[in-house]
Amino acid sequence: MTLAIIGAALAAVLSGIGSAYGVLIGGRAAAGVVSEKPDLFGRLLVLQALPGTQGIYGFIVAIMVLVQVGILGGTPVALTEAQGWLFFAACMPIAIVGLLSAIFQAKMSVAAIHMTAKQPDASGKGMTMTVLVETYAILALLVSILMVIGIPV
Amino acid sequence: MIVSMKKAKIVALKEEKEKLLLELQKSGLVMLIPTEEETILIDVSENDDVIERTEKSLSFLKKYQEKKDSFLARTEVSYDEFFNYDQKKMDLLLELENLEKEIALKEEENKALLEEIKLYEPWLKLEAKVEDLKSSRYTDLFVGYIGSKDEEKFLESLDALGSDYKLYGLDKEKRAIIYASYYLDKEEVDLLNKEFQFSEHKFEDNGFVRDIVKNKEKQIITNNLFIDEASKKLAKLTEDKEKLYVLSDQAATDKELKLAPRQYTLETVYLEGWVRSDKEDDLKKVLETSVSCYDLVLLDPEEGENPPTCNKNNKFVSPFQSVTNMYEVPNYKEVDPNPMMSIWFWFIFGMMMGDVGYGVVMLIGGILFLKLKKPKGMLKQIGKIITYSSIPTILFGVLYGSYFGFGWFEPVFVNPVKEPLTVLIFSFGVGLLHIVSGLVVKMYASFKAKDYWQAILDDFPWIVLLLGLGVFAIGLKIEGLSKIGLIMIAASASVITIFGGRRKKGFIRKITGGVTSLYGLVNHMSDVLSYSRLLALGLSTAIIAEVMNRLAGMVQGSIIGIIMSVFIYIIGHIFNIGMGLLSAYVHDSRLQYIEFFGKFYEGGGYEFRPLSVQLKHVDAIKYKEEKI
Repeated sequence: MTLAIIGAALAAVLSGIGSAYGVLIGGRAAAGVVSEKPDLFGRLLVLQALPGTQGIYGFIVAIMVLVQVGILGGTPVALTEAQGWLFFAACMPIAIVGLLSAIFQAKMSVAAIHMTAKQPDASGKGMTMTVLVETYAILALLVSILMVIGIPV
Repeated sequence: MIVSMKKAKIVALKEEKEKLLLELQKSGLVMLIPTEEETILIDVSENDDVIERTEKSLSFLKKYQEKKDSFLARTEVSYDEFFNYDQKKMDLLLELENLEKEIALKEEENKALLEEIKLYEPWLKLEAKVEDLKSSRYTDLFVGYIGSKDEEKFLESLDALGSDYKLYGLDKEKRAIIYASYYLDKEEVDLLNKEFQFSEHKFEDNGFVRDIVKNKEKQIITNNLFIDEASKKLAKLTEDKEKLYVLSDQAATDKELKLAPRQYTLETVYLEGWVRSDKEDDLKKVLETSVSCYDLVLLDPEEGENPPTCNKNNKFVSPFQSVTNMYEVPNYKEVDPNPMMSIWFWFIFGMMMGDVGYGVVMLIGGILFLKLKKPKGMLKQIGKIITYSSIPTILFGVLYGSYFGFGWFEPVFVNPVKEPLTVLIFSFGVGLLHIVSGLVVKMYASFKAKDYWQAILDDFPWIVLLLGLGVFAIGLKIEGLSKIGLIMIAASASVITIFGGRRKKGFIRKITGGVTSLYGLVNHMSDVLSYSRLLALGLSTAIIAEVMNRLAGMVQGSIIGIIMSVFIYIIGHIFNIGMGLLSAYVHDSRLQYIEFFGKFYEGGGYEFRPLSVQLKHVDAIKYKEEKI
């Protein structure tokens, strides 16, 4: 049981840290631009928010683990140690990829924000480039979800 | 579809050029282009100046507005008001700027006064006029400060010298002090002052300190009264800010008009530009009503010319054009990608949201936003996209059995949280069809370009191959289909291998070229895998909705709990809808740009932006019947 909870905690914590940091550096770049071009606020907000999704993905996996082991809405299941390790392993993809991809995506988003500052019409292109990074977080999320759902309890 | 363009060459009398250009601008029909010869530099600094000043005043005025503009506020002005120059608006701007300047001045003055008062505060108890603090024949008088930690020692030394002193207030770490010493002790006193770092103080004004301070305070009060008065005036003037809106837009419109490219001969003005071929007659009408005589020539675009792109689509497709244009504007010659793209964007958006409740919120919210706010530009398009996409959202909600995250009804198709694999395979299926439709557009484009071999030998086999893969996959479940799938795969793959290298030179290159072109399958497959995000994003919306419901369910138990739970429901679901909309929009766009457009799209065009009235602040001009 402890292992499963540690796994869920790591999924939420690591990807949450990644996203928080990602949104921070995105926001810092965006704030600089908005100080000179307030009109761009809406476009920049979207770019800033992009690295924020990883935290949500980690949160989803954490909740799914909690539901599976019966802590949320149900009676807690007595897990064997092997099952605990399975849950732990299932949380790792989104925990690790979530943390790193949020930071990498944020760096891309900062670049896109700078591009938008110079060419407001190019914000769509910048957005697409930034979203490409997120693909791998989504794949990790999918793997984590499939694993969590698939573990026999 | 992409509207065909004609090049319009207009010649008219020079004396009528103002009227002609203004009417063209009002009608918004022609995109004037600079002709090859040298263009004259036109001075628009006056307009820029007005625009900049109004913007500055508007943002300044915002602080004084008592009631915030409602989100739904709209500015509509009459035709006459917009097109007739009115000195009153300029006067208003000047008045605002003066008030702004005066307020800033008074605020600056108050700041300085406050600083001065602070300097006098330690001396408030001084019972003499400051100008009377003078040394006399036998005594030297010292007025100043001494560090408060040295105070005791300093006083002791003064006592030892037999000086008389009086202490006053504290200024931070310093004690205000006045003392008198016998004139023959001057040397000792100087040494003492040096040792304890006595700093002398000089008063700037005359009279009693309390009177001086009182006067300065009075000055501050009068200044504040003035600022209050001015603020009230400004608050009242905020009601007139519509006039500033008009002024700014007028200046921008005038600037656009001045910058319109044109050429003159001695007696005539010559304009050249693009006009939509379906609006030819409108242009003729405008010319007839605005000038007494003119000459108009309309030409089809020549080889090598690059006309602007103007999309004309039905009401459903047109908002989705903004998605394409954010990526790249299609070029004039290619097939308009929007009709096909719009359907997919709409469908995939719904699949990612996938909740009946959220769909209803999107529908109602979208309609209210469009009807009440009447937004312009990008916001309008996004509002429409959300409104339209609510329909597949509701549809997928029914299929997935999701109603605000509750399972009120059994899912018609499958519950994605319980059987994600089924939805994953379904997502891949959607992706496969999406990619195939991209290839179909490419084949259509090849036919249109009369490149029949390309269409039959390159584009078509890929369509069959991908469909064959799909059929084969279904065949794993349903008997008999897998064979058909295999035949499709084998036939198309052989066509691709045989003809894939037909453009290469040399026999060996032709063969290797065929085999390597089959390698493109890897690209298509990785594109298909990218559609797994349809499941992932659908799941994340569904799970967060469920979590919110669970959280709200936990606190229900007492009356306070039920009230709390209502808050959790509302805030939680609004958050989820917001995040869901953002990621659906972003990821849906990505699928279109990279997976779908990658198959056929060329881009590289530029938008048709006719000479027109520039509205930034004003939402609409109410035209009279004479509108053309």
